[in-house]
Amino acid sequence: MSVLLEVNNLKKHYPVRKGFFGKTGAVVKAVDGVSLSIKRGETLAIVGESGCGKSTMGRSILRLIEPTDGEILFEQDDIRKLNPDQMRRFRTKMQIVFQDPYASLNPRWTIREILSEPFRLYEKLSASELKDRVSELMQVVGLSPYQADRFPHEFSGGQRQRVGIARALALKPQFVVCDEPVSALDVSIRAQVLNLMEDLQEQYSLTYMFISHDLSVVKFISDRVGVMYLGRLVEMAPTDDLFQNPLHPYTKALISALPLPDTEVKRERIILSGDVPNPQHPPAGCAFHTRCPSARPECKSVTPEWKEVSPGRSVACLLY
Amino acid sequence: MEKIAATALVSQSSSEQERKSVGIIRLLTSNRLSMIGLLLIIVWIALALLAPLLSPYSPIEPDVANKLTPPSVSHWFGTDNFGRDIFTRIAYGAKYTIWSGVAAVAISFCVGTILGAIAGYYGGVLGSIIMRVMDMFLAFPALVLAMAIAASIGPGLTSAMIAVSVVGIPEYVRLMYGQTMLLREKEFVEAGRAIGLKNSVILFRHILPNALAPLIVRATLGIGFAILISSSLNFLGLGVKPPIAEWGAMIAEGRQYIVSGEWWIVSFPGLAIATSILGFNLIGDGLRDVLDPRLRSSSGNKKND
Repeated sequence: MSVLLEVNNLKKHYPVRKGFFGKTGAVVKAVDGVSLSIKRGETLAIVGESGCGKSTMGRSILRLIEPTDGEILFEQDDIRKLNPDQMRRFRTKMQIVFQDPYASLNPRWTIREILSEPFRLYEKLSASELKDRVSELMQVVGLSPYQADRFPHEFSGGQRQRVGIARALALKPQFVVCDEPVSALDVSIRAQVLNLMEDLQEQYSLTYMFISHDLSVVKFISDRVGVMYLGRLVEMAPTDDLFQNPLHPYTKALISALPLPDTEVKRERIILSGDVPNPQHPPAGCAFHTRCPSARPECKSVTPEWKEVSPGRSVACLLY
Repeated sequence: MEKIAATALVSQSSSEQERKSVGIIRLLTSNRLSMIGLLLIIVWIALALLAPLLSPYSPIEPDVANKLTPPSVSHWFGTDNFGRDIFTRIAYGAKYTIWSGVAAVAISFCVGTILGAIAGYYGGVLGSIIMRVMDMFLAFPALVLAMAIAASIGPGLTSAMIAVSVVGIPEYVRLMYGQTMLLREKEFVEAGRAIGLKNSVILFRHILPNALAPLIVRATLGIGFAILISSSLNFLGLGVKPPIAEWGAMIAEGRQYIVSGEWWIVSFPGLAIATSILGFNLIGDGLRDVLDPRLRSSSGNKKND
């Protein structure tokens, strides 16, 4: 499989305003040097706690948030070098599905208007063609075309998320960032939406970046998983390897928190103490050392490098 | 990869779906107070339009023989010091008052909304400049600022209207600024950008329609305020020229007669100003109750919540 997207050393720093004149001193490093690559047709999941920068990273890759530094190579083109006009046209190739299906649809527009918008922007279609395309799109995501003239508030969360997915697919993108697409949905609806997303991936040969904090969802949908902590990737591995043999202490703690279906099996729970450190003042050395059960003295001063420990598996930890 | 069994079918019927969409107009008409307001405004507009038909007198020509007559059957509201019929003058004056209120608000609304949207959406230096200039405007009492502007342009109905509209602008800028700041972080706006919409399209098609409700409420309430300020300017002689019948100017002309007992010259134009402002305020309150249920007051009809 060829590489579709390569991200090198992506950074997004937010200045923290202090004082009356807005003097900028501290910065919050929401994303601090993330490098990864995604192969065509695969699903890369990014997991991490709230505030670890996973959503910021996803939006930075699409340049919905302008990254501070780094390279984003989409089919070898650095999209950070595109001017606003070129970028707008480029957006047909990469789309996003949002977390909150209540906030992601304009409440004053009907579903037809919402789904027509991408077509209106890029294709000159007659009224009847437009109608057909919208109907087709709705059927693809499992909605009935007769519902097109309803407003978002007339739909349930799962149906709205289908509309959100339909909008993202309207322009036939190659790459879709899914920013916690099912975490706002009822558990019963989650499975449907996940199945739909898988079917669509097959049908349109999509590449997903699936951002989530729900490991059971990640286990189901992803081919590879990247674990983020305080703006950095700490581990990246194929899904099965990661779940069976997590390397980084943080990953181990996350996996041990997963509920097991078999109550007979006893598993050692690793409980992390304390909160995520303030991202404005991240700990020196390894950012995780304050909560790490296997921290060593050198973890406080040495920043672990991102290294490949076995083919396809990378980890940033001094233990390896 | 295994499939998770889908537990429910696609067509979940939600309570939302069954929720009846209640028309804004129906909600508004069920609010008795705002209906009273609407009635007041309709009466004033009708008087303004039908003034020449309703009254045999001229609003401008003096009739010295009948000067300072108290209210009677032939002169409902009495006559002033030139013998002009007060009722006639009030009816003719309604058009100036309502027109200057509505037009001034329309100008402040348009200018304010555009400035606020730009400041809120683009932010940065431009946004800061716009907002700080608005703060400067707000630092002055409205009437003082309006007087200064009207006086600097030169007295006249148009200059009074411009003065009133300029004074009203900051209100709308601030409201729209806040709304835009709020909406631009919404995911549907982000989705628009992800599709590749231009900023101007996002601003006018996505943000503006969602920001309008509180602005419309503010504008309706603002008409009353604009009427008050423009009447004050006319009272102070910064508006229409003397023979023209305008409520504020009529009070100014008649104020010296209060002490000598000719109360009707001042009282009826005063009542006219009060009722027209009341009318717009009642409509505005009703509109706010309907458009923004979070602020729904006890006067609103709770049944239709």
